Amino acid sequence: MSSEIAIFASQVKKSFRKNPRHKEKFPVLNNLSLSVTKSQSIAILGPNGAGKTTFMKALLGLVFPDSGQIQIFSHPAGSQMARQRLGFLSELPLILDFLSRQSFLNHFASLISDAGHSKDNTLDTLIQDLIGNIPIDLPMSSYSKGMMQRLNFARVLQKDPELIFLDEPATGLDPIGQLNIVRIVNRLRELGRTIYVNTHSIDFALEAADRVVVLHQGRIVTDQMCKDISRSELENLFLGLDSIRS
Amino acid sequence: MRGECMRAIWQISRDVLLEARRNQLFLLTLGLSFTLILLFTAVSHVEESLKNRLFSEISMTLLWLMHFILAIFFVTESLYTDVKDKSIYFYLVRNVSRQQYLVGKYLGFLTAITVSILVSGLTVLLCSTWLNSTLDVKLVWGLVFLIWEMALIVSVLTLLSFMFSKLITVFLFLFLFFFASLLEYLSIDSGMNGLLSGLLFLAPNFKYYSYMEMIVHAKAISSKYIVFLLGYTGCMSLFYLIATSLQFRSREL
Repeated sequence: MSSEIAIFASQVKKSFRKNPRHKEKFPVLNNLSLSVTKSQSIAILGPNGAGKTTFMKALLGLVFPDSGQIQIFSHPAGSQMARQRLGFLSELPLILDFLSRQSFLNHFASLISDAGHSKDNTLDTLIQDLIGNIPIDLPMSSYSKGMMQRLNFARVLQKDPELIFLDEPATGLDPIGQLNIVRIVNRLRELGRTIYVNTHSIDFALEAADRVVVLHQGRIVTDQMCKDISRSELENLFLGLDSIRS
Repeated sequence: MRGECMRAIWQISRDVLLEARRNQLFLLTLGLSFTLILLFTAVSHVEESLKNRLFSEISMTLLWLMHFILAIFFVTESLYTDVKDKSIYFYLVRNVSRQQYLVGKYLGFLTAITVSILVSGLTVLLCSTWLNSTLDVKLVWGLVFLIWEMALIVSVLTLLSFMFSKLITVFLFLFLFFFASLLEYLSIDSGMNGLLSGLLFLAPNFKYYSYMEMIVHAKAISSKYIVFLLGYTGCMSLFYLIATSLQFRSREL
């Protein structure tokens, strides 16, 4: 396994105002440090308000930390060099309901620069698997949620991103849809892609990741390889966090 | 590299045009404009006294009003929806920079509104020419200024939309517009002191109405004044676009 660092975050702090009219801020990320090597698959677990989404946004360059350092493949988060190498799948699938399957994919492929991407797209087969049974001519408005999520996954995989961020990718999908997402993530792992996934599901984390990190109140509570921690241990950890919160 | 930058801007502008084509507000604007212009033409044809001045005034004011309302709702809705449904992430996370997104959106808005103005403006010109048996060049310039003023309106709306919620943006924009128009009216009518002149210089000053006033009152319009209007509005649009870019660069999403 390569030892190149895909994600490097050091002492990241971020706080938000409770209300625009109040000066008081509450911390969302508390000196959070995390390092993810290339080709690793990491799942971030945590209750609502733990800071998962804010941390992912900071890694994507959408939110700016108050202090600390974030790098993606040794480039500052949000910089063009960092953005070229990543893909992002949101919890809410992007819907351009008037576009058909191929128009949707072409539309986003044309927005992505060819610079820094290999010509032999190793993810082409996977993309074909994802969109294979989605109707070619029908507009997106006629697709099921599972189809939309798979089409969006295919969009993310265009032009070979090395680091893929997934935000609650299985939320709202039926069990078959959820299994499909796990299967795709595992294929990506086999192909050596680095995966960073935010999830509420312990099962999903254990099935689709090499490493699991639990966040609570902007801090890392546990950071272990999946093979070293059991489902029941994670459940107990969560129940413990819940009792702290209540 | 430059080609890719332009391609991203073009793609985002194209998205806005596709959005506009499907937006019923555009169809409504065009439909109402056509209906009212044809109605004015019919009335002017019957009533001789309306033919020249009044037809021009009513039609051009109508075009301005319809597109003013269209710009407010289309620009604020589009930008607000991009943030609300998080589609802005899909552009910004990968290869589109914030500046490219902003410029693409701005050009898309302006092109969509320009197309609508040109389509309904052409109808006004045809009707005016039919009524008066001659092409009124002042009306052609009126259309140019209207489009130019939309560039300013869209840039101010874009800045406000990135800073405030949809409702506040609309109210603030209307306040700014009426305040600037009041200052403009005072400056034409009675001259102003230093403070008001300063405010007038800083406010997004919409000049189209002044131009229309000159047409209505059949005043001579010099080429110097035309250059001033084009230059002033262009500079103000650029100023607000740069301010938006600076604001958007540090905005968290």
